[in-house]
Amino acid sequence: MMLQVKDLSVFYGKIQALDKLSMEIHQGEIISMIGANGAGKSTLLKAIAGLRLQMNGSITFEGEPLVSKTHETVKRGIALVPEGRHIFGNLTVYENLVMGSYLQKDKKVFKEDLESVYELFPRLFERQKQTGSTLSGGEQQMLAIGRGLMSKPKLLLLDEPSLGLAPKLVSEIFKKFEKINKMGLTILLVEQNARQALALSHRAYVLQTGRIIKQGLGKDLLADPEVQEAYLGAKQKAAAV
Amino acid sequence: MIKFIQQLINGTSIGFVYALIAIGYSLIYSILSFSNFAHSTFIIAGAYTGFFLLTAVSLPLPFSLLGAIVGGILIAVFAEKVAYRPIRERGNPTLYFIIASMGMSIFGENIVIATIGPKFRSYPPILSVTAYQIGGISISVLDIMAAVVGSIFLLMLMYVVNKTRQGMAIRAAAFDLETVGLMGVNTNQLISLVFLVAGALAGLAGFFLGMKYTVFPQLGNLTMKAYVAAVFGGLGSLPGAVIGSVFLGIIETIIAGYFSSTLRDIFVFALLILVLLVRPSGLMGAKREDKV
Ligand SMILES: Nc1ncnc2c1ncn2[C@@H]1O[C@H](COP(=O)(O)OP(=O)(O)O)[C@@H](O)[C@H]1O
Ligand SMILES: [Mg+2]
Repeated sequence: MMLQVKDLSVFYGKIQALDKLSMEIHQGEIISMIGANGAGKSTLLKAIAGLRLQMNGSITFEGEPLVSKTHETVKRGIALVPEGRHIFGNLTVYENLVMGSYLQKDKKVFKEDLESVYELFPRLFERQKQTGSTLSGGEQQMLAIGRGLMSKPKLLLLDEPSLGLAPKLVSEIFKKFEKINKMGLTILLVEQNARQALALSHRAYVLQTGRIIKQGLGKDLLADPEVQEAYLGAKQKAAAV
Repeated sequence: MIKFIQQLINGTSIGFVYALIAIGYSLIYSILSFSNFAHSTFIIAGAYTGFFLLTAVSLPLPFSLLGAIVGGILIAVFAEKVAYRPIRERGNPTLYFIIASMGMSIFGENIVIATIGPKFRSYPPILSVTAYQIGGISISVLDIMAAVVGSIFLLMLMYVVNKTRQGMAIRAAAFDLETVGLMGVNTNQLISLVFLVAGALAGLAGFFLGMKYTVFPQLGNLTMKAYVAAVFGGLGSLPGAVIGSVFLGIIETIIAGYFSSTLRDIFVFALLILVLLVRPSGLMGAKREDKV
């Protein structure tokens, strides 16, 4: 097992965001975590990534516990692509990617990684000298993902990468996730865009107010009437309006 | 005309000293988003360390200058570790940093009064008496040294910030500190580095101020002027801090020379209020969300 989360509870003051949550990820999987706004999806990713949170329970990665320090987590091989992209708007695209490889001391490895990111997202290569703030939303998302890849992670955590993107771009980016997975990375994908996330994933979890209420294979959850009703109903609702 | 050129030279020299202070101030502001009033403590740490090394220990000038820098560094890094880091780790609001920095500033001034005493002390007259005369204009060696040494340090800093990995992390942190941590940067170490740099520059400035004027417990209050210069140039912008400082130094000296030194300080703070009203982002500051 690559990552194991056991009885994880997280609090923001008096608000409890996660309630004894347990989950696991195996090497090579694409796992998605779906759930409504406020369910606790981002909180789970932040806890794994080592952001300072008031929490108890345990998170182990490759058999060893993770400490709550983001720079240590990156060293262990986990990268978080945060919700809202958080690219460095004052740095160029190239510099953003250099920041992603901050711990990489080997120049040759850096060059190879940079090339593979540019190959995955040719748009970033075209825009490499532009500052981050001048990119479009889709380009910023590509940059955030590319920057995450630059640390050579084993496990990539993606927090709502489809947020605010046009449907066509979403499909394009989801295809890249499959490609990244084939390159050998394990992916934990958090999405409100449940249909595409479930279709892409090997396994998935459904999160509601801090608890896992369902889990199973991606395709089984896609066919699950309750999941359809609660998370895949957007189309019917939109049609009814 | 000669008088004007003389004022220009004097103003530029004091402007460089302000720049040393303003840059550190601006650096800390850009990363932690608060005005570090404790900067005054870093300055007196440098000024008194330099003073004692020159007088009590009789060290040669270059070593005393280095000692003043080390004094500024020690206090700055210590202040960050003891006061600001715990506030950061508890996730307290920005206001707490400001209050802590004001507390430290008052503490620093009074601990000097209580231990060393409230007296004004003159640096030994090593350089201040020697001056070059060129066509009726006198340029003191001290002014030249302040401008040259100051420029060297500022250029070194620009190099670090724009060309090195740590510098890139500092620029990124000015935009988004938490995300810099996600890149694998130890943000506590990065912040210590910023305080080290700010402390070194403040210590150096303290040494020059001590030589130019005298050392006294309230010497650090000059930070207020560097603050005005930093706001004028655009808080958070390093070139802005330098340009604002030199500009302020020149204007201030000219006003003091042609009108009076009372008017000088009124002018400085009128300028601050005016800038805050008309163009809060300063000359070179990026327009971003409000920072205190
Ligand atoms: N910094 C915070 N302070 C207080 N409450 C928070 C904070 N971040 C998240 N929460 C709360 O924790 C819960 C889970 O939030 P989050 O993990 O962001 O959900 P999701 O990503 O699924 O939308 C929500 O009720 C949210 O309001
Ligand atoms: Mg979220």
